[in-house]
Amino acid sequence: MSRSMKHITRNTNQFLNIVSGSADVDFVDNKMTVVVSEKDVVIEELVCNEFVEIIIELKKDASLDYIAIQSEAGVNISRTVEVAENAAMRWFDINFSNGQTKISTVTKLIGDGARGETYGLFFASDTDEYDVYHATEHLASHTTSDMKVKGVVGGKGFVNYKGLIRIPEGSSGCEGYQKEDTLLLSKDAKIYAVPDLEIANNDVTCFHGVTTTHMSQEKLFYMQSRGLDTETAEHLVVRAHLGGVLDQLSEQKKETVLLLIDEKFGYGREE
Amino acid sequence: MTNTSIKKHSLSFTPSRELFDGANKDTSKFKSKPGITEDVVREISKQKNEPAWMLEKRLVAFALFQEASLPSWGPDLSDLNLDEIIYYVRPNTEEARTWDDVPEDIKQTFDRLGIPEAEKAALAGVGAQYDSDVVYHNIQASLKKKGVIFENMDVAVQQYPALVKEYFMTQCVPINDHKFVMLHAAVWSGGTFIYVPKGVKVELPLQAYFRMNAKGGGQFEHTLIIVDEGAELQYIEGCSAPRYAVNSLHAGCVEIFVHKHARCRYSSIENWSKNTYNLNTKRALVDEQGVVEWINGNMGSGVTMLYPCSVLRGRGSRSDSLGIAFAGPGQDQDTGSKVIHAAPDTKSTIRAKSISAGGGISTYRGLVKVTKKATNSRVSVECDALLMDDISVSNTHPYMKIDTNDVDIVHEATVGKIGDDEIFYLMSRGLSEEQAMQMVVAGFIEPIVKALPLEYALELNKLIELEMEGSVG
Repeated sequence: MSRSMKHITRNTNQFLNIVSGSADVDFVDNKMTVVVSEKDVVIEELVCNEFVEIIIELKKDASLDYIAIQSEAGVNISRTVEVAENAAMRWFDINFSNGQTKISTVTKLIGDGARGETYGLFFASDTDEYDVYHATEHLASHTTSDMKVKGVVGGKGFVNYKGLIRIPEGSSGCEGYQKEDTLLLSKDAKIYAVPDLEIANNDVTCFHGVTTTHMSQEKLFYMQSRGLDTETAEHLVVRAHLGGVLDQLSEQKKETVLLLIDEKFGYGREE
Repeated sequence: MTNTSIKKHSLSFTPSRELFDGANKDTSKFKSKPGITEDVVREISKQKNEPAWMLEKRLVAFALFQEASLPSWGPDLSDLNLDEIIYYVRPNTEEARTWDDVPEDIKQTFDRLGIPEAEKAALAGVGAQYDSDVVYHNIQASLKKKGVIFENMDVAVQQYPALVKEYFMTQCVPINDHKFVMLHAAVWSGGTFIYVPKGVKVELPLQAYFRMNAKGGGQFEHTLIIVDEGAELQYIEGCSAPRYAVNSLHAGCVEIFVHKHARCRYSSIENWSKNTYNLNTKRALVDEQGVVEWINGNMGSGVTMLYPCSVLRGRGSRSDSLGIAFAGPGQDQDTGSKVIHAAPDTKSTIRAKSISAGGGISTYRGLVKVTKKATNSRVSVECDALLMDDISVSNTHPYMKIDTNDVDIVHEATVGKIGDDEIFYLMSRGLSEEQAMQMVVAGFIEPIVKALPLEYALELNKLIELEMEGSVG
């Protein structure tokens, strides 16, 4: 990125760091507003244990990749974007946080032809408790959305996932897609998943799906029979599970995520 | 060739809402005053000459009902005035054993609905309830010999007190479950009691039909089914009510016990008139290797809140549920299936379809809960919704609560409209637009229709056709 970058810092202990190109950023109290009028990338790096609200406005024809990789404890963030005509928003909501985490990512497609994509990854272990909410509201015609989320829960982790696609009356020719897949690694891992659809228009195509799978003895046995130890086998299953979402990231970010996975689940610590 | 056969199929009957909505003259023998008080509860019990324990149960439930508040979620119930409902209407007849003994006007109603034909054709037994009491009951002699009990619930209280006391609103649907269960427990009347002894397989389905005739009436029938170890049963229920200007209320309750290695298929087609509030509770407890199958059709009612639930409490037990909901103008169909996996190796499938037309709202609200004990369980949920126009609404709220890792779960839902291409293709084959739409809808609901016995499949098809009449401008 050769463009200018902005770091927004509030104070030394609690700060929100946004690295971006041409976006207009304003940070007052715990509320940040970002206005984007061309093609841009925003990277959220947040160390903060109080509630932060992020409001993004995406102007006509603009496009934004918003990348948030959270690995701090006690995150509580609410993100909202309004996407204007023919603009395109892509969220990367990636969570490795320890402890209690609450994240809401809402996309409002307010202009004709607007598009919203939400790629989510969450990794909960130990006694982590995540509250993850992803919503797309199709408030204009010919809007399209795609939400793909992959989660891994181990230890005594608990994730409460809620997803919503809303297409009100009057928004015609819309397409909505939502898929959430969770892989449970341990006996005490828990997932509650509620993918909601609220559709009040017939001129739409909408799909949502949720799956929950686990590290079955069969899978492990198969891989062990091919000469892999348990840890490597589990690692492989986790990597495979993330396909489709991880690929959307740049090589560099992908590496970051893979390292964080190893750290979170303790892969590769011993030979 | 296909062209003409399609046409013939679509035009072979001319359905009329009159069949279901028409009321007979009110000739009831006893009718409680509108509204509910302790006196009403006592009077119902007295009229039925019930044992003291049942009255006690009713009174406890009534006290709970008065305390409980309405659900804070789901459809709007503000138009339901519980003080206007007549809680007990006793038809002017005693229960008959042969069809000829049923009074003429009541017989007419059930004749119109096709009850005796159905019995002649393919049923092992049939019961018919008119307002609060059962007016007709019959069961094949051979089944009776094997010890199968198919009785009016009121009679069962008198004749089989031990069984009823053990199973009636105790562990399956306790009286304090929710507000409308409390109300049901206080004023329940009629319904069906079925007991299938160990190892007995009832090959033909047993059937009951419930009909509300009195204006502003409530129907609170209780269905209690016990399928003992290794036994099998199929049971079918149909419901309808005439249309009056006053809202009526249906708060029935179905309890099913499927014991070890037993199997029960419960089918119901609900077609209450459109000013009925259908707030129904259905639940099955399934033991080791038992199987419960739910087939639910919700066509009628203004507001429906119905979530049949299976509790899989025995290892290897299974629940399959198929549901179809049709929400036409002014209808709010809030339905879905619940499954609680509470034992290892349990399996469940849920398949729900809904159609919304003319501004109707259909909501799938389901719950899948997999508890810690339910290792090696499998769940599959599939919901499909069809929206007929741009003023109708389809919602999907599937709750998945997974407390163990040793499970595989899949949920999928799609919402869409009828494809223009499909309609164009069918119209190019000589069908009118309306016929083409009916055909696509018939195809959409086919997997559910196929699971029903013939006469119910016909009724369902007829109803859908009727509901869709004139939906093409």
